[in-house]
Amino acid sequence: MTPLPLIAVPLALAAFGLLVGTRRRLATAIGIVGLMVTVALGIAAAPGSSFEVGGSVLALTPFGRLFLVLGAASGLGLSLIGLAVGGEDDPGAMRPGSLPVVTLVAVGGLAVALTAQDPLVAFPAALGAGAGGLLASFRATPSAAGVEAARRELRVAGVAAILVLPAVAWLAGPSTPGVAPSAGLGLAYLAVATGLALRSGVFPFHAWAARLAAAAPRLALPLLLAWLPVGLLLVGLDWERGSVASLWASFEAERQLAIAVGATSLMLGALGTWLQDDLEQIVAYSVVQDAGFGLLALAAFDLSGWEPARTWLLVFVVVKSAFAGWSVALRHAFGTGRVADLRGWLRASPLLGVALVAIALATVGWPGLPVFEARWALVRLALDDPFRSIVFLGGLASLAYYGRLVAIGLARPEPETGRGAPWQLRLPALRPSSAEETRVAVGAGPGRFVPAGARRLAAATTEAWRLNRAPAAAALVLALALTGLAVAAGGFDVGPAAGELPIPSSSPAAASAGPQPSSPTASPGGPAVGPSFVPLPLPTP
Amino acid sequence: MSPLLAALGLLVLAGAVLAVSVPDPRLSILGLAVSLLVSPLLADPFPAPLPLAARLLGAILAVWLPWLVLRDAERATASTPFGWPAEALFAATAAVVGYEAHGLGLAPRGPAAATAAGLALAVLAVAPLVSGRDTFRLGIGLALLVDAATLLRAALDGTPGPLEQLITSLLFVALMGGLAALASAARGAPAVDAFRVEAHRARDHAGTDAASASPSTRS
Repeated sequence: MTPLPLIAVPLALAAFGLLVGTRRRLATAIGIVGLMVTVALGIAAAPGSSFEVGGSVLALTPFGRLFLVLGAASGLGLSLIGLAVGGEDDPGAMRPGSLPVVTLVAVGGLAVALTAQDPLVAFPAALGAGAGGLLASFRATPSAAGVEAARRELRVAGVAAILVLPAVAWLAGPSTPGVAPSAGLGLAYLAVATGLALRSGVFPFHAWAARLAAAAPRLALPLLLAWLPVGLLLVGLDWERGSVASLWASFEAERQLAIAVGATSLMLGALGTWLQDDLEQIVAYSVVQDAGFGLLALAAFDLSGWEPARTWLLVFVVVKSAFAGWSVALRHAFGTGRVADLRGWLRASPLLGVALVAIALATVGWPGLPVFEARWALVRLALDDPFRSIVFLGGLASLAYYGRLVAIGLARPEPETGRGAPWQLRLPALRPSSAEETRVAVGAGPGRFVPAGARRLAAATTEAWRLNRAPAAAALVLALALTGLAVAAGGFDVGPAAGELPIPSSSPAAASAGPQPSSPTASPGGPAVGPSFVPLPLPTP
Repeated sequence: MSPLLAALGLLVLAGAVLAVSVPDPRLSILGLAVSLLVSPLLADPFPAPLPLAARLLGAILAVWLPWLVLRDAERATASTPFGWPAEALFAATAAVVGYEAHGLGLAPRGPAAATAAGLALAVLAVAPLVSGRDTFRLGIGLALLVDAATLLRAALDGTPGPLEQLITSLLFVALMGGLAALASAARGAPAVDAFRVEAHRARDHAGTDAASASPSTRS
């Protein structure tokens, strides 16, 4: 199967969902079904398959397929968590688009971006997906802060576009071979890196992320702060490997600047997270910190950094989805997002405690685990000692705020804290519901006869859902966290998928970059997989 | 530079100057529409009919979405603080610089008129982006900025391919759709205005009362 359904189906269903946006339940249902279909299509899609539109090839790589499947699955998980907790976090309560519908927009846009072989197609697609993601940044009740945060989101998208598109076009291939001035190469690299840093919200652009976390729907944060920026970053990494990677020596100063930004984000992000007392701000600052690795990946001009970079970015997005879901489920269970008021949360909800431990382990890992090795490789390739060790330890400092959350969870709870035991399943009383309740539950029209058995089942299902929303949310969070841990441990064939090279081995850039961990794969009868960006006809320094 | 491309470039600039200068949001959208509709034509060779149609449809949809929110707006919005002659001068200066700097050291594939228009649009977008406090002006600035990016891209690497044209038009639709949604949400937010109305301009309009000087455009 070609990647066309993986692009067309999410976008078509998203358009349908946006058109019926005023009917919240219908839009949410369309979005959730659409995400399920997208996951199924992603699993069914054959890596290596491709199709052509007007001379531009869209090819599905194993990594692109994994990213899209995990993105749709995480969006689905977060939407279901929202349905479980209800209230402000109900995915249908967002305006003007429900979370599942906007996630479909993002998945469709990123599908184009990650399958496009031409960076001049991939970058606008990733930027467009980001602009579409803006629809997820509104809460049900509009506020001044929300509008201001959305304005900033729009502004960031525009500024990133003006930085990235001309820079990429400038290096896309001059008509007559010439030598690009090194200053110009560095300027183009810097423009792209700045655009990506802006979108990622790393220091010193973190204020945008913090304000967004304060104003946007809580469950939309992973989409806005992680999935969409990382989609753009992946396109940027592809472009960099194909265009400027082999010439990095001619713009070492610009590279050092990108490293400085990434390292600063890693160091200060942990501190910023530690200082926060609000769950959403903790999630946002943890994103800011870990996004620093993305900048380091952009500055690690070594082919051996390719697999660690993409492995880390995949772990990052899944784990941040789980972390955001965890914060929402915890807020729902305890009625507060203030860390100081959450004493004893882990005693009351061990399922969420296990999930947090899984999130922390998936974020940091341990020696030998692919995620740990990926983080270390990115730092090692970008920096020399003693900065290398300092920055790596700064990255490990995220354990401190995870530890703080666990310590507060284990503390003796305040008498008035907690609603009960969210992990305990409660059985509904088997009573027949009224005819009206049943009709509503099974979707039958007025006056329609519904058998007594169906009435009992409908009543029991409704009651069971009402009684077990909190455990359902906690179970979904745990599922997301364990998925993140599986990705961090190299599950889903992350390693081979992430190690796939973007540059054909015959290209000068690839040849000059040293030995390659793997070569582009080819499907039987299909084209080579992996972007075939044409490197600049420039001399290697 | 061919006279046709020069004329098209002037048309793009005229639309952009109108978009950032006039206080009436409907006229401003008209200017933006002119700019977005003409800019895909600033390419050498001309785009193929089908991709061009995609860009034009995208441009129409992109301006139609904020128009839906704006069409009944009766008041002026905060336009550029410099006035249209100054904006036109800024744009002309930037266009000359862009024309001279065409290619930026590499052999370009596109026309110099696109570089000139792209740089001029980028300069025109600065004021609404930096000083524009209202959602509508910010959106105008963003649309011009992204249009500038596409023009510079066409100047540097030639006429975009069909898929790129399609994706670019969708990018404009996504941006302006986001803007329209934002403006719509802003109208419902307490103490927020979709199109922040400067008090002195609001008072200038007939039929406005004291309540109209409040930030909200519509009750």
